[in-house]
Amino acid sequence: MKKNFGKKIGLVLLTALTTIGLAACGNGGSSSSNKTADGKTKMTMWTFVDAQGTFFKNAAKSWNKTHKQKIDLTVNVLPFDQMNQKLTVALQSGSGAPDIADVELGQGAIQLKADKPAYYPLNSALKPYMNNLVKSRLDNFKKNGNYYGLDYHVGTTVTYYNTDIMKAAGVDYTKIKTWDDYEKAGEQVKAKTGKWMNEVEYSAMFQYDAMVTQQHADYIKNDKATLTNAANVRVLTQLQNWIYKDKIARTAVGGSIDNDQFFAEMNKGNVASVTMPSWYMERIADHMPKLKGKIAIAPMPVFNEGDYRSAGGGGTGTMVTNQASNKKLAAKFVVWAKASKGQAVKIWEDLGFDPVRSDIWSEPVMKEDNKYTRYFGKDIFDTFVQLKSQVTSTTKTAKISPDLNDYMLKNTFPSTLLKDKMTPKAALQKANDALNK
Amino acid sequence: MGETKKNRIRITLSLILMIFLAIIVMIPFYFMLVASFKDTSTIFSNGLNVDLNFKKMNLDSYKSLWTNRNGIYWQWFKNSLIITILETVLVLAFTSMVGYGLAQYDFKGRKTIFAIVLIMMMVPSSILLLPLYKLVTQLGLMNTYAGVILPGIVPASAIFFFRQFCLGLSREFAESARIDGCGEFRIFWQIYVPLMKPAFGAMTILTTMNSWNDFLWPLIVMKSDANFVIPAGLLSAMTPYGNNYQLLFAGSVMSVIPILIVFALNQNQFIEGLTSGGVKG
Amino acid sequence: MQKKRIRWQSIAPYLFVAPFIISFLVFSLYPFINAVIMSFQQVNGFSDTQWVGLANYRQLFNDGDFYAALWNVLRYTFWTILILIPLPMLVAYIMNQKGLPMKGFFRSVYFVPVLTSSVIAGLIFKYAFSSEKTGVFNEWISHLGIAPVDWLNSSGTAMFALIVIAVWRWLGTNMIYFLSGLQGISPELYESASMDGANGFQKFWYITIPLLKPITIYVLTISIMAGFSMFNESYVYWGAQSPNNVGTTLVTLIYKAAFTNGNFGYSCTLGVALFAIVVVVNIIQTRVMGLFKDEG
Repeated sequence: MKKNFGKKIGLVLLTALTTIGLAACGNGGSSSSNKTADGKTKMTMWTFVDAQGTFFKNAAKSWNKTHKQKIDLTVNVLPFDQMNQKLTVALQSGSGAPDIADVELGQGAIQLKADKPAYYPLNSALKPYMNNLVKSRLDNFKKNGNYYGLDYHVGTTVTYYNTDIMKAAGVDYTKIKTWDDYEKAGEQVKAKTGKWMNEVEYSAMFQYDAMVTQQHADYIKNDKATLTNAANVRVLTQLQNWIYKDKIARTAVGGSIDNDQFFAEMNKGNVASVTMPSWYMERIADHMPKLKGKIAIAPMPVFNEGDYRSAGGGGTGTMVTNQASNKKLAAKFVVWAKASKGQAVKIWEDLGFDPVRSDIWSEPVMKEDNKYTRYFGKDIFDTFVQLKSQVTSTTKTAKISPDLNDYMLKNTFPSTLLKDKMTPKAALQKANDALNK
Repeated sequence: MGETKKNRIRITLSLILMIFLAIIVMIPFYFMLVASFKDTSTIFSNGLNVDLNFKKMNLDSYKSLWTNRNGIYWQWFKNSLIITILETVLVLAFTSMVGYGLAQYDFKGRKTIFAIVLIMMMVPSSILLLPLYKLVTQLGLMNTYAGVILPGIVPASAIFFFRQFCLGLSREFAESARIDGCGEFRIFWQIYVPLMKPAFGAMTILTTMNSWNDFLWPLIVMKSDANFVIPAGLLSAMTPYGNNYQLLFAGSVMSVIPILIVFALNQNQFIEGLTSGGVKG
Repeated sequence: MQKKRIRWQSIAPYLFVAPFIISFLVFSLYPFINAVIMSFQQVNGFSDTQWVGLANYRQLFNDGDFYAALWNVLRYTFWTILILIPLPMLVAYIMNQKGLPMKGFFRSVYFVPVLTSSVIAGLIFKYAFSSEKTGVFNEWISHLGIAPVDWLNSSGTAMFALIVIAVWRWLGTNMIYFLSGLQGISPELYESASMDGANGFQKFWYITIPLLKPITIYVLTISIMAGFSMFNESYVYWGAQSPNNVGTTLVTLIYKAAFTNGNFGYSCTLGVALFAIVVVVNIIQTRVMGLFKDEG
């Protein structure tokens, strides 16, 4: 009996050691050759969105049909935070990075912080397409004259209205031209229906960013924070007033309007409007089934005459790392996958984004039946085309960008929006001082 | 008579308290279970909606464990299972040896080694996150089970436990076995290991539990989503970038089951092991 | 023959402890030395390092986030110890009474939470602590006439939300530790105390607590360590960034510096600082409690 117990353990132990040994060898990730047996170049890609992974897998298939240098693409979908963290560390430590990576704009600021970013410039690959691409979207990933990423979309920011609520409150949303109009409409909505006109983010800054950008303003200049300028103070004051003075809004459930709890909130019909980039269509269509056919897309209200009625919001650039086995081919492939005409159409059809290649926006194919036209109506791009020339962006790749984002979300918004503890002016002054220290 | 009555009241009161505590402890599981039978959109619509409404409850979330991203959940499950089993077996083997060695022999350096064990018990391993990452990279173990398991296979707390346990075992067995010509390792293997059975029971539960629920380190080592363990995988489902919320609750429920089985199987030895001196400072 | 046996006997202990020594050298000491070295460096990739002297430490002393995290961790540890030692001890004492039915059942039930991953527990609690008035906790307090609370966004309630998970998870484990200690106390002690006219409370105070001291010290030690290295729950609630640092912990900062910002040197500096803090706390604890003083 005693003997048996020992023997049993011994056997298990032996098995365990063998397995671990095998596992160590088997998974070692040896990159012996970067070509497959049939001559395709092996590439790996990291992304944090399932759909974008599938998009690129299909892109590789189409590429192989028309190009001589074939590609064998492996896509890894990782959670957002983890993907960026792994990428940061892999590039820092000099090994383990993929050939191609999807990098979200805010993370791009971190990735491009170094003087010599660990990425391969897409300049020459971009050249043939340059005229048809929205330039402000390229600038988001530009550093020292090099373009390091190509976005999926323009992120044309618009205001989404819940038409049921608007009707119930007797508000004609098409008449809302300025933020003053918006506020008055909000008061009417609150009084008549008890619903919120808006929910204000404090753990994200899409709306803040868009409202600053539309005033032709910025919050960074020459790598210094310029948060104290009139435009920034005006925006933060406006947002704070909605919550605490006019009481037409509250802070967003879950901190941002891009999370599960807020989706549920909006789906229930508790929020009359949100101002978000074009890609929010996908969130609405996927997570708010009850609002089908009830969401109208309109240009953003403005502060003053001459302000833009939109802005470029959010974004994800596909980038080629300097650890790629064939950088040139990877760059060509990435640019082709997004900027060639057929692929740009696919970006709309498959992903629901407004493609960076904007010459196709006015083509009839954009009105064809898909998930989005069925949800929002066929005329989506009629609105976007109007706004095309008004899409600009704040500085995203300055050295100070990551710290600025971090500081705003951690300190400034919580103490002005989440709580009414500081005046916008004082909070922005404090942030500015801390960042320019 | 008065004494028994008083006693009965005392027992009844205690029992009520015990039941009350048990209910409180079980509430989150109740939430988890109810939520796992609901549609994702209804769960989140009220903070966490756990009203019982059988009409609206279904097995869709459980089905999604198989359908979502080709059943990636079971891949995570398999990874968790492999890592946990390997790690538990190795931890038990090594720490029981070390604990035995520290308790049953007098040798030069014993005090120093035990002092190191004590220090290691008090220092959180998270301070070594980055250098360990570097080491594992250098060893070429990124994205492997070995990379996840190796740094933690000789944990100080388990050594401490086995040592305390072995201190309570008589050295005479070893003495007489030596006279019979038995080798040192055989003494450990054939005489002491069986005596340490309760300690093994307790440590099996604690090690399995730690390993099954470990999150940060496997997350750092594993590079592809197919290689994740369950906690990391479930957390990764919580993004607005894909329709994966369904996995959360059903996946949580399923993940509790294996550990419950281990606990049920080792429960009696667990208490016995702890009682027979394991944690006496 | 006899000689060989003796030699074996003197070598054997070293073979038995070898796994620990090897693992300690490779997976603890070597990385630790590495961490100390990197804490004095600016690390741009593992092959490109640059000595910066005390710059990282200077940054640490001026880092508001560090103090916020330290304060959070201290508060968290304080509260978990304050609750998670007396309460489980009392529950164990009650459970250890003669004649209480279904002991085994209760024991298992109380132990189940700790079997659940803190990530999964965190997920459940995160939604239960929703700021919505229909969130579970807000609904409960509404019966007491209290307005909905934005639990996870204010300092006090955020700490409460962290401590609730800790208490829920660890109550059962600590109770089992104490229970195992209680079972080692001879019933005769209680009997003779009863004969001397001691009541239940006096017995608990004068017999149980002193005799449970070794277990208490053990629980205290692991609680301190768990408190200072808390990360999972905070990460599930807020990710690596919480509003006004309400949930930032020291490990959050280590993780964020290394894996979000790619600032390896500073991450190691934070690690070394955490090490120093834990050592100091343990020295104090050892002095106060006379920990392990009878160890060989």
